Amino acid sequence: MIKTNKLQFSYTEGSNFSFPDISLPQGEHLLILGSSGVGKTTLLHLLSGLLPVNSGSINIGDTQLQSLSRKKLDAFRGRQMGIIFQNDYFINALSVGENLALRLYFPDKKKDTRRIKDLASRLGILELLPKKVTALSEGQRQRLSIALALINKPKVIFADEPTASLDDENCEKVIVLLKEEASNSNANLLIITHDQRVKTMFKNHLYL
Amino acid sequence: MNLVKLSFKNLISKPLNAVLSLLLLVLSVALVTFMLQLSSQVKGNLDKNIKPVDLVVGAKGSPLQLVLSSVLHIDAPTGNIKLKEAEKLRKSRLVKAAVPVSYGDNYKGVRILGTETSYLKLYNAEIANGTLFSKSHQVVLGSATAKKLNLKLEDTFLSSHGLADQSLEEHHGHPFKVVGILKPTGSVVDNLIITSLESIWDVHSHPGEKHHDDDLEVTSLLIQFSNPMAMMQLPRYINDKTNMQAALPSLEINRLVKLLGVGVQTIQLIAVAILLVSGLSIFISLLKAIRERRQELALLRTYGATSGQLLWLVLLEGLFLGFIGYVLGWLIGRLGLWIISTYAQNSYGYIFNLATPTKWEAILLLATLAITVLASVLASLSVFKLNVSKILSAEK
Repeated sequence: MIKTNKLQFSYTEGSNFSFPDISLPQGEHLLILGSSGVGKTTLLHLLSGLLPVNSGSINIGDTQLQSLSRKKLDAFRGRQMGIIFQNDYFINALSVGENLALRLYFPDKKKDTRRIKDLASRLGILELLPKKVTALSEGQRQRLSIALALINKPKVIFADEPTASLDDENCEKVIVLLKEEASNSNANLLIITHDQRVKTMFKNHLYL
Repeated sequence: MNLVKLSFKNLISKPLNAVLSLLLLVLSVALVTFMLQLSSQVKGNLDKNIKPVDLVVGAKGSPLQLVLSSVLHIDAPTGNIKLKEAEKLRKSRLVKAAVPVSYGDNYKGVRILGTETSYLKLYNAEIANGTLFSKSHQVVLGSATAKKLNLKLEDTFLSSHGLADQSLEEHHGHPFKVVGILKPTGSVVDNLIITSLESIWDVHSHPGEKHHDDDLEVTSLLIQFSNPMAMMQLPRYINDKTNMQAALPSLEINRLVKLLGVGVQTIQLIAVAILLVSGLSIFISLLKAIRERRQELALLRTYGATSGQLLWLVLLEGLFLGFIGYVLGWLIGRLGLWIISTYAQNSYGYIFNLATPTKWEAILLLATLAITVLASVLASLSVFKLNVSKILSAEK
């Protein structure tokens, strides 16, 4: 469940972002649309606690993000959230499998080889597990980013422009996959995009 | 997967980044451990060799030269003294034991020392094979000598005049015969050919000529004191009242070691300077690594890693570097010591012990790790100021 109340943020004085309130029951999906520069990524960083709000409040489940200390917020994000960033980031010194294992290591030092294999085979990257991440193709990187966001069974999945670099066919595949995975674990799925192709695939829309 | 694994993988994923720091570290650790070991073991070897001899009496000249030649067998003698004069000292109540030694010849560069069998007792040298010399031209070999010259019992050889093996003049008609081989002692005895005084006299006299007691000469007399008072009285008496000189080995060697110590200290200082530079280099290379991996560190923060864990990550990388550098440096230092040891064993009979890490090496390890920890912590302070949101929304 996600609930925001009168969110405001400013990078510099004078440029204020005000965001409409969000209220999303557990398991629901939301598509957030808007053109460049309206603060889509900023909103995602606020919701995931990467940026501190200037005013207003964010509740995820029973937890109010503003009430958490920095350390607790880090741990909460690690346990409850999965984030797919606009650019994909991996630990380049590690293999695909090690990247997934590392995602499980924080914050609770979990080890779950079966979970990694299950998810990897569902995303079709099982045979890539021993490969270096630097050897992956664009599409494979995309799927690894999704795997990294899902591996810890988060309650909220954030995705920032997950389809920007994909053709129509892969665009649909990725969205279907995300919706499936989110539904499987009854998680909220928030997708931020300016990609009009995605629009018809969601019933909840929010325009910024 | 855990922090230790991750930091190690990070370190080896771009090995060139750390190579310079590692080389500097290895160099300084190798230098320090090598010099520490060398100076302490040389001192130990010298002490062991001079310990049985309290006083050397020989011809006038440099006292250091007298000690080096007669006790350590590495320099030319200062000259000869009359045996008769030396014998007088033997009767002094201040003298517990006195052993005359005489030089003159070598065989393939190994010194042939004319002396009495009591010389072997000074160094607790025992016969391993054969017997002691009893007649002229019988010799016993030090253990290293026997190996080096490949001589066995009953073998014979002709000596050359002088102490270096370049001398062309060979003594004909006086072959020496090996009657005994000594057990290893870890002292100068191992690298000598030892024979009776008569042998030396015979080699240098004309055939058929009889020795006249008045003319007999030896190179020097090695003396053990009967009581501590002797150290005060005997040298003064010899230097003032006879035309011989007395030299205290302990004093002369201490002087020598002090002289060498300046050189050793200079090298140590240079090594410590390199260690500090290597610390700086580690600092810079980690700083660079953190800058390059800014996005990865930010990513770890979104995974739920705390800033403290990121600090650990960098710190562990520094510690790996420090530890690997120390171990490599230590091994190279020991390798150097082994090479020197092989050489010194052939030339001087000095044996260097390779295995034992010393207290100072443990202190050096701690110092190395302390420097790397300091460098890593200073380099990684920026992880506390990491702007995760900004880094992850920037274009790649």
